[in-house]
Order: sequence, then structure tokens, then C-alpha cells
Amino acid sequence: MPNIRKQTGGANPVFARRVLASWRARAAAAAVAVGAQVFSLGAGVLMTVSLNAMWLAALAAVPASVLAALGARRVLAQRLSKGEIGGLSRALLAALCLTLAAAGIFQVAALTALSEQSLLPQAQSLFVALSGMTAAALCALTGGAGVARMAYAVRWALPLMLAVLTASVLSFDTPAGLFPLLGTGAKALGLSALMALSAAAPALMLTLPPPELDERGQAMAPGGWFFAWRAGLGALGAVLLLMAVSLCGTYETLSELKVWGMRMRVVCSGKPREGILQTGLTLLQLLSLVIGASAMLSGAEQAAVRAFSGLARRRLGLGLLFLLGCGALYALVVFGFDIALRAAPFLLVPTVVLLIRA
Amino acid sequence: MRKAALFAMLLVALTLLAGCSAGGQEIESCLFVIAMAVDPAPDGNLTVTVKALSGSQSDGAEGSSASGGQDGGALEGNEEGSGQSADAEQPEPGYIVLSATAPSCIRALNLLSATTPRTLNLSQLQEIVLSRALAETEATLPILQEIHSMYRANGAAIVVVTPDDAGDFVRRQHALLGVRLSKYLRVLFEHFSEIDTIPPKAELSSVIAAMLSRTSDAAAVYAAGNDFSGTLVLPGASDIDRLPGHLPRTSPAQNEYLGSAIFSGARMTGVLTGSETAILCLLMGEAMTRTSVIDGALYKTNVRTKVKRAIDDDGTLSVDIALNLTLVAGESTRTDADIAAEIERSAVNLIRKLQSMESDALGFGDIAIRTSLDIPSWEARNWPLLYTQSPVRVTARTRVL
Repeated sequence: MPNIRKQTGGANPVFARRVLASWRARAAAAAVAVGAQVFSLGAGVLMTVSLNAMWLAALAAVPASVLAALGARRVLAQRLSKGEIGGLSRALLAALCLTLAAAGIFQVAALTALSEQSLLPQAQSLFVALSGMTAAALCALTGGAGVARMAYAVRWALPLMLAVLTASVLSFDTPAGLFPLLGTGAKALGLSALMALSAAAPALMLTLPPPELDERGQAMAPGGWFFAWRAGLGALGAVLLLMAVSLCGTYETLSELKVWGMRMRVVCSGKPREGILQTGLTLLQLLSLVIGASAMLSGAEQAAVRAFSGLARRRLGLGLLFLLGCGALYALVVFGFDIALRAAPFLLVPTVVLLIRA
Repeated sequence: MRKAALFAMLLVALTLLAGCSAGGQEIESCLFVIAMAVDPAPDGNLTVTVKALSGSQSDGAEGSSASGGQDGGALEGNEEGSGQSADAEQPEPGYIVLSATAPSCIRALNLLSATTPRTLNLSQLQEIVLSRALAETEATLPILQEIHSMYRANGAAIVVVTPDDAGDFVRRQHALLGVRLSKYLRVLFEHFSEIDTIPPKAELSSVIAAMLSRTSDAAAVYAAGNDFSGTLVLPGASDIDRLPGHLPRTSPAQNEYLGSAIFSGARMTGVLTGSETAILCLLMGEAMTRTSVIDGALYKTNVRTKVKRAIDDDGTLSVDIALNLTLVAGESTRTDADIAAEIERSAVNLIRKLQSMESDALGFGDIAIRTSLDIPSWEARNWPLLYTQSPVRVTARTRVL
């Protein structure tokens, strides 16, 4: 498959630049989605296993995201060179659809948990969850091009402002929260690192081309590292955010945080909760989750349309995914978010299977 | 750059939406609590007293109390509250005092909520006063956690311990200067922090974090009421080397904030005088505008004091202080070495006193934990015991400018 980056000076440079811009937006959306997944999983699952060393365990997600992006690019190359369905069987496309949908639902659940512990303490969880799912579905309605372009527009501003606001919330008096370095122990840290690998699942969306190019049968894409370093940086940003959470309190304080949403907040124990900086930080976290969830949902819808010809009409695929998401979120609100937290690490299985089989 | 600016503007605009959230409340529908007190009551109950903004300038400090007790709930009105002196009930326009008694703090707060025609709101809370009898039990931490998490109290509220009845202490608390009690208390604590007569990190969220932590311990503000009938004059001691409650002074403000209540875990184990608290601030590296009187000469630190805490290889708790002093008033009769030796002696005495109280308020545990690889190995070291038995070394270098 020709590398689009080497074509921009060719016969039709304007067209080639537009194609490259689409890929850039796609890669930016994947990077934000990977970052959101690493952060949600880190605060939701890894912290309960390895406490203050969760950021160390989450580091495993960085190479995993890079590898997943490289693998996804390889699959993409096969797919584009082999026509409509290409190198992926219907079963694998269906598995891809379900994996991306599950990751998207997980991120909406994380958004709900964070909202009810921060900006919307008295709102009903179901209301917030369904609002989040609706927002993600609306963003995905246009095929995800809009949300990808938004991710591209904030590709520097989002991490920069996250870093500035996080630094303003932190207290650097003592780095006591980072110690003991291995948290609850090497064994637990290893288990956490294994679970952290599953956070690379959103990078699978890169197996599909941007929808606007997909419709035109465009068969050019940038090289593997074009996607890989972006996905890796997204994961690394989330690891730094998890490190900030660790810095904010000792392991005893972290073990007292029983609720997922509380664990996602970067709240320094020595500083008051309120304040516009804290609110801004929470808003940016929520924005990342919305972008991630929307990108996942649009990717899942794209895979569903490819897998099942009966869903060729795009609205039907998206509608079914929306209903699936609403049903899953309703179940999570009724039975508790712990189910999502227990299930999230198992996203590693379809991720590995898809990358190996494809 | 333009996109970044637009994004920043969008973010600021989005924060405005937080005010329109489903959790928003009308100001008129809230009862904003400014000060809160918790006292032990008979049969294992707790009495919670709150001083709140009434919104009316004509009313005095109307006392009312509700009693839940072990049986669960009789409500009674009482103009004078329970057990407080007549002096404590000076009318104060704009504020009301309410109290409730129940088996737990959260149930007492619920009782207050249920019997008050407003939603109890602790977001403007400025101080939480605990009676010493209660602070010396393990109940302190659950009480503070309940207040902080369940009622989303202001994390910056200052934790105060008093040997008196905490409810009476809050009733006596008036805005002596200015009109708003919230502002008065905020300025009061800021002022005492600046002159190092109250401990740093006495905020509710910091105290809870320190109580939960096994690497450091909490210090709260120590305070007491003075009835000016039997003031103690301690010859030879420095002006603030005292505890509150008997200071040789008179004032419309009876409550005195001076010194520290020291905790070991969740339990209060001792107190520090004003002078000892100043040394505590110095050793914690928080003495930014420290003023010292040495043999009649007034010195002021002109730059931030450099303090380095460490644990030596042989387990010695070591503190290295570098201090630049400026002579502000009086005549200096001491050399730099004499002043340094005085600081060293005071600091060693303070650390030994903290060790005897089993309190690591200086946070040496934060340093000790760095050499442990994981939590099980750290907990196996039994730091609390090691800490109390460790030798102490303080080195001070002073320069008078």
C-alpha cells in the first residue's frame, strides 16, 4: 500500500494533503481514546490492585499501545489492498465492533462515575450515563469525522492545559505518595501491568480508515509509526495523570477511596476541593472521555457496517450500538460499576486475538 | 495559537455550566454553617453544635437544640441551648446557633437537617471545634471523615481542639472586628499562621490525610476560652510559651488560639505551647515570616528558611536549619552561635516531646518510607516504634544581618 506521506508532493498535492489531514485526525482521536482508556482503567482497576504504584503498572500500556497501533496499521494495509472486507473476516470484524463498543461504553461509565463525584453530585447516575451515551452517539452520527477533527484541533491544547491545571492542583511539598515505589508488591504490580495492556484496545480503531476516505475507496495511508507514536503519547499522558493522582495522597489515603469516580479526581489532600482550576481540570478529563467514547462508538459502527451487509444503512448500525450501550449502561447503573471494572481487563483477549489472527 | 486561545475560552465558559448543574441550590434554600462543634454526650452520644448564617440582621443568637439520643428522636426547642453560660449567649445579629444530639455525628447532622427548614450546607465552613475529651479517643477520624465526605464540608476549614465545651466555644465566637464571621475567622487563622502561633496544615482535608497516613501525624489548632478571672503570669517564659485559656490579657474576644493539639494516628496525645508551635513551623519549613524575641531584641527572618530533614544511616532523625535573621528592634546581645545553639536546643526538645507523644507531626516517616520497596516491607518495619526510639540531631546555622 502506498504511503500517503510520500505522495503529498505528487500530481494532486491538495487531494493528498486532505487525505493526510483525515489520517491525522483519525490518529489524534485514537490517541485521546487510548489516553482516556488508560486513565479510566488505571483509576478504576489498577489502583485497587497496586494502590500508589498504579502509574508504574500503567506504563505497560505505553508500549502496548504502540504495538497495537503498529499491528492495526498492518491489518489496515491488508484490508485496503484486498477490497471491501479485505484481510478481516466477518467474525473478526464483528469482534472488532464489540471490542470498540465495549471500550466506548467503559468510557461513558467512567464519565458518569467522575461526573457524579465532581460536578454533578446530586444528579441521577442513569441520567448522566444516558446523556453521555447520547452525546457520544450524536458525535458519531456523522461517522466520527467531527470528533476526530476536534481531537486534532485540541491535540496540543488538551494535554498542555491538563498538565498546567494538574500542576496547579498538586502540592510538591513531599513526594510521599510515590512511595513505596512498588505499591502492594511486585506480584500485584505484575498483575496490574498485565491488566494495563488491555488499555491498548482503542488503538484497534486504526484498523479502519477514516469514514470519509472509506466511502471513496481511498487506498493510501501513512506508515505505522505515524499512528504508533501518537497512540504512545496518548497513553503516556494518561500515565502522568495517574502519577499526579498518586502524588496527591499516600497509599493509605488511596485505599480509602472506595468509589471509582473519587479515584479519578486529582485532589490534593492538603488543598480544598473547590475552585475554578479544579473544575477546569475535571472538565478536561470529561472532555477527553467524551472524545474517546465518541471515537470508539463511530469505529464500532464502521466495523458493524462492514461485518453485516444488512446494516449497510449507517443509521441502523449506530442505532443498534446506541441501544446496546444504553442497555449496558442501565445494567451498570442498576448492578453497580464494579461489573465494568471487572470486565474491562478482559478487553486484552479480543485485542490480542484480533492482532494475531489478522 | 488562535485555536489554543479559543479552546481556553471554551473551557472558561464551560465552567459556568457547573453552576447550572442538577446539584445547584438556591442560596435562600441553604443554611450556611460557618462554625461547627462536636462534644461527647451521655450514653455514648455526640452533640453537634453549628453556628450558621441566619440572613436576618434583627435576630440575636437564638439557641435551639434537638435530641435524638439512643432512642432515636425527640425534638425540643431551647432558647438557651444546653449547659452554656449566660455570657456565651450574647446576641449576635445575623447568626443562629443550633445543636442536636445523636449516637453519631452523621445522625446528629441528619437530625439538624430534618428539623431545620433549610438544607444544611457546609461548603462555607471555617472551623470545626472538637472537645479535647473527644479528640483523645479514636472517634475523631470517623467524625471528621463523616463531616468531610457525607456533607461535603469545606476542606480548608481549620480543625480546632479545645479543653472547654466545644459548643460553648462556638457560641462565644463572634466577629469581633468586621461584620462577617466567616471573613473574621479566615483572617484570624491567616494572621496566626503568619506569626507561627498555630500549626501549619491544620485544614480539615490535611488533618484527615495525616490521620490516615502511617508516615506522618496531624496537628490541629489548640484553643480555649479565657474568663479573665485568673490569668497566669509565667515569669521567665517567653510571651507565647503558654497554653490558651489563661493568658494575661483582657479583650471582648474570649476565645484564644495558641499552640497545637498533637495527634498520634486518630488520637490526640498532647499539646504544644505557642513557642513550641513556632519551632514546629520552623522545622516543617513553614516559618516564612518568623519573628523571634531573643533577650529583648526583635529579629525577623528576611528570606525563606532552609530546612532539610533526613534520616541518617544509623537511624538518627536529623534536621539541618539555615536561617538568616534581621535585627528589627532592640540591641543584640547574643552572637550568631548563641542564637543557633538556642534554636538547636529548642528543636531537639520539641522533637523529643513529639517522640514522647508518639507523634510524627514533622513527617520523618515520609522520608523513611522511601527506602522500602513495597507496602508489606514498609509495614513490617514498624516505623511508629522505631521513630519513638530514634536519636535526634539538629544543626542550626544562623546569620544576623
